[in-house]
Amino acid sequence: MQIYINDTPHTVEAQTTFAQARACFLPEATAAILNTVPNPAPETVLREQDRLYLYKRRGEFADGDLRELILARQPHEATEKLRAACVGIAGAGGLGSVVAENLARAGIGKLVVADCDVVEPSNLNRQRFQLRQVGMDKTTALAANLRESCPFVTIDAIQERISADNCVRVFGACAIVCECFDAAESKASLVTALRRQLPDCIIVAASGLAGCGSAQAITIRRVSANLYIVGDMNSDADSGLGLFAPRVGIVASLQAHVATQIILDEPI
Amino acid sequence: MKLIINGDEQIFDHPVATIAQLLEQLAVPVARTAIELNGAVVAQHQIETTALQDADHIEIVSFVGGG
Repeated sequence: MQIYINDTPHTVEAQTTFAQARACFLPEATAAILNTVPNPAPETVLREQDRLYLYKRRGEFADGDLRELILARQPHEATEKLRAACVGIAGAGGLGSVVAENLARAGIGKLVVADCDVVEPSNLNRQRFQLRQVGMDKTTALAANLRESCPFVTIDAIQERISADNCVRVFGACAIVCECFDAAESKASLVTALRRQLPDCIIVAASGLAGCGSAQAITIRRVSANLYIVGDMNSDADSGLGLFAPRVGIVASLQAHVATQIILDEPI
Repeated sequence: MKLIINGDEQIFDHPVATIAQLLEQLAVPVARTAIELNGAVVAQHQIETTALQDADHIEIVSFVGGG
Protein backbone atom coordinates (compact mmCIF):
# COMPACT_ATOMS: atom_id res chain seq x y z
CA MET A 1 0.00 0.00 0.00
CA GLN A 2 1.03 3.60 -0.45
CA ILE A 3 1.55 6.06 2.39
CA TYR A 4 3.12 9.50 2.53
CA ILE A 5 6.05 10.20 4.80
CA ASN A 6 6.94 13.87 5.09
CA ASP A 7 4.87 14.35 1.94
CA THR A 8 6.81 11.85 -0.17
CA PRO A 9 4.94 8.72 -1.36
CA HIS A 10 6.35 5.38 -0.17
CA THR A 11 5.20 1.80 -0.68
CA VAL A 12 4.99 -0.27 2.51
CA GLU A 13 3.48 -3.65 3.36
CA ALA A 14 -0.07 -3.84 4.64
CA GLN A 15 -0.33 -3.88 8.47
CA THR A 16 2.89 -1.84 8.84
CA THR A 17 2.84 -0.11 12.22
CA PHE A 18 3.90 3.43 13.02
CA ALA A 19 6.91 2.09 14.98
CA GLN A 20 8.02 0.00 11.99
CA ALA A 21 7.67 2.93 9.60
CA ARG A 22 9.64 5.19 11.90
CA ALA A 23 12.41 2.56 12.31
CA CYS A 24 12.58 2.16 8.54
CA PHE A 25 12.41 5.78 7.39
CA LEU A 26 13.70 8.06 10.17
CA PRO A 27 14.75 6.12 13.31
CA GLU A 28 16.19 9.27 14.89
CA ALA A 29 12.77 10.98 14.79
CA THR A 30 11.65 12.21 18.21
CA ALA A 31 8.25 13.46 17.10
CA ALA A 32 5.53 12.42 14.68
CA ILE A 33 2.18 13.57 13.37
CA LEU A 34 -0.12 11.02 11.73
CA ASN A 35 -3.11 12.32 9.76
CA THR A 36 -3.08 15.60 11.75
CA VAL A 37 -2.82 13.84 15.16
CA PRO A 38 0.47 14.15 17.08
CA ASN A 39 2.30 11.35 18.88
CA PRO A 40 0.67 8.20 17.50
CA ALA A 41 1.03 5.06 19.63
CA PRO A 42 3.87 2.81 18.38
CA GLU A 43 1.51 -0.07 17.60
CA THR A 44 -0.81 2.08 15.44
CA VAL A 45 -1.40 0.22 12.17
CA LEU A 46 -0.93 2.46 9.14
CA ARG A 47 -3.52 2.55 6.38
CA GLU A 48 -3.55 3.25 2.67
CA GLN A 49 -2.93 6.98 1.89
CA ASP A 50 -1.99 7.81 5.49
CA ARG A 51 0.13 10.94 5.90
CA LEU A 52 2.90 10.60 8.45
CA TYR A 53 5.31 13.35 9.40
CA LEU A 54 8.53 12.36 11.18
CA TYR A 55 10.99 14.89 12.55
CA LYS A 56 13.50 15.65 15.25
CA ARG A 57 12.07 18.11 17.78
CA ARG A 58 15.32 19.98 18.06
CA GLY A 59 16.37 19.24 14.52
CA GLU A 60 17.18 21.65 11.78
CA PHE A 61 14.55 21.93 9.10
CA ALA A 62 15.26 22.38 5.43
CA ASP A 63 13.22 25.21 3.89
CA GLY A 64 11.59 22.84 1.41
CA ASP A 65 10.10 20.66 4.18
CA LEU A 66 8.90 23.49 6.36
CA ARG A 67 5.58 24.21 4.69
CA GLU A 68 4.43 20.62 5.01
CA LEU A 69 5.61 20.35 8.61
CA ILE A 70 4.04 23.67 9.60
CA LEU A 71 0.73 22.56 8.12
CA ALA A 72 0.88 18.96 9.36
CA ARG A 73 -1.97 19.58 11.83
CA GLN A 74 -4.38 20.42 8.99
CA PRO A 75 -5.98 17.76 6.77
CA HIS A 76 -3.95 17.54 3.57
CA GLU A 77 -6.95 17.93 1.27
CA ALA A 78 -7.97 21.16 3.02
CA THR A 79 -4.42 22.47 2.90
CA GLU A 80 -4.28 21.90 -0.86
CA LYS A 81 -7.51 23.88 -1.37
CA LEU A 82 -6.19 26.70 0.82
CA ARG A 83 -2.89 26.73 -1.09
CA ALA A 84 -4.78 27.34 -4.35
CA ALA A 85 -6.72 30.31 -2.94
CA CYS A 86 -6.11 34.04 -3.30
CA VAL A 87 -7.72 36.32 -0.68
CA GLY A 88 -7.74 40.12 -0.60
CA ILE A 89 -7.49 42.08 2.64
CA ALA A 90 -8.57 45.73 2.44
CA GLY A 91 -6.93 47.46 5.39
CA ALA A 92 -3.97 46.24 7.44
CA GLY A 93 -5.01 47.47 10.87
CA GLY A 94 -6.71 45.85 13.86
CA LEU A 95 -8.84 43.64 11.64
CA GLY A 96 -6.59 43.23 8.61
CA SER A 97 -3.39 42.36 10.45
CA VAL A 98 -5.21 39.61 12.36
CA VAL A 99 -7.10 38.31 9.31
CA ALA A 100 -3.81 38.21 7.40
CA GLU A 101 -1.99 36.33 10.13
CA ASN A 102 -4.77 33.78 10.47
CA LEU A 103 -4.99 33.15 6.74
CA ALA A 104 -1.21 33.01 6.28
CA ARG A 105 -0.87 30.45 9.07
CA ALA A 106 -3.68 28.39 7.51
CA GLY A 107 -1.61 28.20 4.34
CA ILE A 108 -3.54 30.44 1.95
CA GLY A 109 -1.51 30.52 -1.27
CA LYS A 110 -1.69 34.24 -1.92
CA LEU A 111 -2.77 37.29 0.08
CA VAL A 112 -3.29 40.74 -1.44
CA VAL A 113 -2.97 43.20 1.46
CA ALA A 114 -3.80 46.86 0.79
CA ASP A 115 -3.47 49.87 3.09
CA CYS A 116 -2.21 53.45 2.78
CA ASP A 117 -1.22 54.11 6.42
CA VAL A 118 1.97 53.83 8.42
CA VAL A 119 2.30 52.06 11.79
CA GLU A 120 1.62 54.44 14.71
CA PRO A 121 2.09 53.88 18.45
CA SER A 122 -1.69 53.83 19.07
CA ASN A 123 -2.01 50.90 16.64
CA LEU A 124 0.00 48.56 18.85
CA ASN A 125 -2.82 47.99 21.38
CA ARG A 126 -4.52 45.69 18.85
CA GLN A 127 -2.63 45.53 15.56
CA ARG A 128 -0.01 42.84 14.95
CA PHE A 129 3.05 45.07 14.53
CA GLN A 130 6.25 45.45 16.50
CA LEU A 131 7.45 48.57 18.31
CA ARG A 132 10.44 48.80 15.96
CA GLN A 133 7.98 49.00 13.03
CA VAL A 134 6.41 52.33 14.12
CA GLY A 135 6.72 54.71 11.17
CA MET A 136 6.92 51.94 8.56
CA ASP A 137 4.36 51.42 5.79
CA LYS A 138 1.79 49.01 7.26
CA THR A 139 1.76 46.67 4.28
CA THR A 140 5.56 46.39 4.26
CA ALA A 141 5.65 45.73 8.01
CA LEU A 142 2.82 43.18 7.85
CA ALA A 143 4.35 41.32 4.91
CA ALA A 144 7.67 41.10 6.77
CA ASN A 145 5.94 39.73 9.90
CA LEU A 146 3.98 37.14 7.92
CA ARG A 147 7.07 35.92 6.09
CA GLU A 148 8.83 35.31 9.41
CA SER A 149 6.32 32.66 10.46
CA CYS A 150 4.84 31.62 7.11
CA PRO A 151 7.59 31.81 4.48
CA PHE A 152 5.48 29.86 2.01
CA VAL A 153 2.72 32.46 1.54
CA THR A 154 2.87 34.85 -1.41
CA ILE A 155 2.02 38.38 -0.27
CA ASP A 156 1.15 41.27 -2.58
CA ALA A 157 1.64 44.33 -0.38
CA ILE A 158 -0.22 47.26 -1.97
CA GLN A 159 0.59 50.53 -0.21
CA GLU A 160 -2.28 52.57 -1.70
CA ARG A 161 -5.58 54.08 -0.67
CA ILE A 162 -8.27 51.72 -1.97
CA SER A 163 -11.26 53.28 -3.71
CA ALA A 164 -13.89 52.57 -6.33
CA ASP A 165 -11.27 53.62 -8.91
CA ASN A 166 -8.62 51.01 -8.12
CA CYS A 167 -10.38 48.14 -6.32
CA VAL A 168 -10.65 46.03 -9.48
CA ARG A 169 -6.96 46.44 -10.31
CA VAL A 170 -5.95 45.56 -6.75
CA PHE A 171 -8.43 42.79 -5.92
CA GLY A 172 -9.44 41.52 -9.37
CA ALA A 173 -7.66 38.17 -8.87
CA CYS A 174 -9.18 37.53 -5.43
CA ALA A 175 -12.16 35.18 -5.08
CA ILE A 176 -12.73 36.58 -1.57
CA VAL A 177 -12.04 40.05 -0.16
CA CYS A 178 -12.11 40.76 3.58
CA GLU A 179 -13.16 44.37 4.28
CA CYS A 180 -10.97 45.44 7.20
CA PHE A 181 -11.19 49.24 7.19
CA ASP A 182 -11.66 51.42 10.26
CA ALA A 183 -14.00 54.20 9.05
CA ALA A 184 -17.66 53.33 8.44
CA GLU A 185 -17.71 55.49 5.29
CA SER A 186 -14.75 53.58 3.84
CA LYS A 187 -16.44 50.26 4.62
CA ALA A 188 -19.69 51.27 2.88
CA SER A 189 -17.85 52.70 -0.10
CA LEU A 190 -15.62 49.64 -0.66
CA VAL A 191 -18.45 47.13 -0.21
CA THR A 192 -20.59 49.05 -2.72
CA ALA A 193 -17.72 49.35 -5.23
CA LEU A 194 -16.77 45.67 -4.99
CA ARG A 195 -20.37 44.49 -5.30
CA ARG A 196 -20.84 46.60 -8.42
CA GLN A 197 -17.48 46.03 -10.09
CA LEU A 198 -16.58 42.48 -8.99
CA PRO A 199 -20.00 40.83 -8.60
CA ASP A 200 -18.53 37.30 -8.36
CA CYS A 201 -16.17 38.26 -5.55
CA ILE A 202 -17.33 37.17 -2.08
CA ILE A 203 -17.01 39.98 0.47
CA VAL A 204 -16.50 39.31 4.17
CA ALA A 205 -16.97 42.69 5.88
CA ALA A 206 -16.89 43.75 9.53
CA SER A 207 -19.17 46.14 11.41
CA GLY A 208 -19.62 46.56 15.15
CA LEU A 209 -16.57 45.56 17.18
CA ALA A 210 -15.85 48.55 19.40
CA GLY A 211 -15.84 48.53 23.19
CA CYS A 212 -15.77 45.57 25.52
CA GLY A 213 -19.40 44.47 25.29
CA SER A 214 -20.65 40.93 25.01
CA ALA A 215 -18.79 38.69 22.61
CA GLN A 216 -22.03 36.78 22.11
CA ALA A 217 -23.55 39.84 20.42
CA ILE A 218 -21.12 39.22 17.56
CA THR A 219 -22.69 37.32 14.68
CA ILE A 220 -22.02 36.34 11.09
CA ARG A 221 -24.80 37.79 8.92
CA ARG A 222 -25.25 36.75 5.31
CA VAL A 223 -26.73 39.82 3.65
CA SER A 224 -26.79 38.37 0.15
CA ALA A 225 -25.20 35.48 -1.74
CA ASN A 226 -21.81 37.19 -1.91
CA LEU A 227 -21.81 39.42 1.18
CA TYR A 228 -21.17 38.42 4.77
CA ILE A 229 -20.90 40.88 7.66
CA VAL A 230 -19.25 39.95 10.94
CA GLY A 231 -19.75 41.97 14.13
CA ASP A 232 -22.45 43.14 16.53
CA MET A 233 -23.61 45.59 13.78
CA ASN A 234 -23.99 48.28 16.42
CA SER A 235 -21.01 49.26 18.61
CA ASP A 236 -19.41 52.25 16.90
CA ALA A 237 -15.80 53.25 17.55
CA ASP A 238 -16.77 56.86 16.74
CA SER A 239 -18.95 56.98 19.86
CA GLY A 240 -15.94 56.70 22.16
CA LEU A 241 -16.28 53.03 23.17
CA GLY A 242 -12.66 52.41 22.28
CA LEU A 243 -11.06 49.44 20.56
CA PHE A 244 -9.67 46.45 22.45
CA ALA A 245 -7.44 43.74 21.04
CA PRO A 246 -9.56 40.78 22.22
CA ARG A 247 -12.88 41.93 20.77
CA VAL A 248 -11.39 43.27 17.53
CA GLY A 249 -9.48 40.00 17.29
CA ILE A 250 -12.65 37.93 17.68
CA VAL A 251 -14.28 39.70 14.73
CA ALA A 252 -11.11 39.46 12.63
CA SER A 253 -10.72 35.77 13.42
CA LEU A 254 -14.35 35.19 12.46
CA GLN A 255 -13.73 36.97 9.15
CA ALA A 256 -10.75 34.70 8.50
CA HIS A 257 -12.83 31.71 9.58
CA VAL A 258 -15.62 32.57 7.13
CA ALA A 259 -13.06 33.01 4.32
CA THR A 260 -11.58 29.60 5.18
CA GLN A 261 -15.02 27.99 5.23
CA ILE A 262 -15.85 29.45 1.82
CA ILE A 263 -12.61 28.04 0.37
CA LEU A 264 -13.24 24.63 1.95
CA ASP A 265 -16.91 24.65 0.91
CA GLU A 266 -18.07 24.26 4.50
CA PRO A 267 -21.55 25.44 5.56
CA ILE A 268 -21.23 28.81 7.30
CA MET B 1 -46.64 53.82 0.07
CA LYS B 2 -45.35 50.31 0.74
CA LEU B 3 -41.63 49.44 0.85
CA ILE B 4 -39.99 46.14 1.77
CA ILE B 5 -36.96 47.14 3.82
CA ASN B 6 -34.49 44.41 4.77
CA GLY B 7 -37.25 41.86 4.24
CA ASP B 8 -39.88 43.65 6.36
CA GLU B 9 -42.86 45.38 4.80
CA GLN B 10 -43.26 48.99 5.93
CA ILE B 11 -46.10 51.35 5.12
CA PHE B 12 -45.44 55.09 4.78
CA ASP B 13 -48.41 57.45 4.95
CA HIS B 14 -46.73 59.77 2.44
CA PRO B 15 -44.67 59.11 -0.69
CA VAL B 16 -40.92 58.61 -0.27
CA ALA B 17 -39.45 59.94 -3.51
CA THR B 18 -35.81 58.81 -3.36
CA ILE B 19 -33.51 56.47 -1.49
CA ALA B 20 -31.85 59.50 0.12
CA GLN B 21 -35.24 60.64 1.51
CA LEU B 22 -35.87 57.18 2.92
CA LEU B 23 -32.46 57.09 4.62
CA GLU B 24 -33.09 60.54 6.08
CA GLN B 25 -36.40 59.39 7.55
CA LEU B 26 -34.74 56.32 9.00
CA ALA B 27 -31.91 58.51 10.38
CA VAL B 28 -29.32 56.41 8.54
CA PRO B 29 -26.28 58.38 7.26
CA VAL B 30 -25.99 57.96 3.48
CA ALA B 31 -22.19 57.70 3.45
CA ARG B 32 -22.25 54.78 5.88
CA THR B 33 -24.64 52.59 3.94
CA ALA B 34 -24.48 50.07 1.13
CA ILE B 35 -27.80 49.88 -0.71
CA GLU B 36 -29.43 47.26 -2.88
CA LEU B 37 -32.65 48.13 -4.70
CA ASN B 38 -34.66 45.23 -6.14
CA GLY B 39 -31.52 43.11 -6.23
CA ALA B 40 -29.25 45.70 -7.89
CA VAL B 41 -26.46 47.42 -5.97
CA VAL B 42 -26.88 51.21 -6.00
CA ALA B 43 -23.75 53.35 -6.39
CA GLN B 44 -23.34 55.85 -3.57
CA HIS B 45 -23.53 58.84 -5.91
CA GLN B 46 -26.89 57.54 -7.19
CA ILE B 47 -28.53 57.36 -3.75
CA GLU B 48 -29.65 61.02 -3.96
CA THR B 49 -31.35 60.61 -7.32
CA THR B 50 -32.63 57.03 -7.40
CA ALA B 51 -36.42 57.14 -7.27
CA LEU B 52 -38.47 54.69 -5.21
CA GLN B 53 -41.66 53.00 -6.42
CA ASP B 54 -44.42 51.38 -4.43
CA ALA B 55 -43.52 47.80 -3.39
CA ASP B 56 -39.79 48.23 -4.01
CA HIS B 57 -37.47 45.87 -2.15
CA ILE B 58 -34.63 47.76 -0.54
CA GLU B 59 -31.74 46.28 1.39
CA ILE B 60 -29.93 48.73 3.66
CA VAL B 61 -26.57 47.64 5.05
CA SER B 62 -25.48 50.17 7.61
CA PHE B 63 -21.86 50.24 8.81
CA VAL B 64 -20.39 51.51 12.06
CA GLY B 65 -16.75 52.45 12.61
CA GLY B 66 -13.89 50.42 14.07
CA GLY B 67 -11.14 48.22 12.78
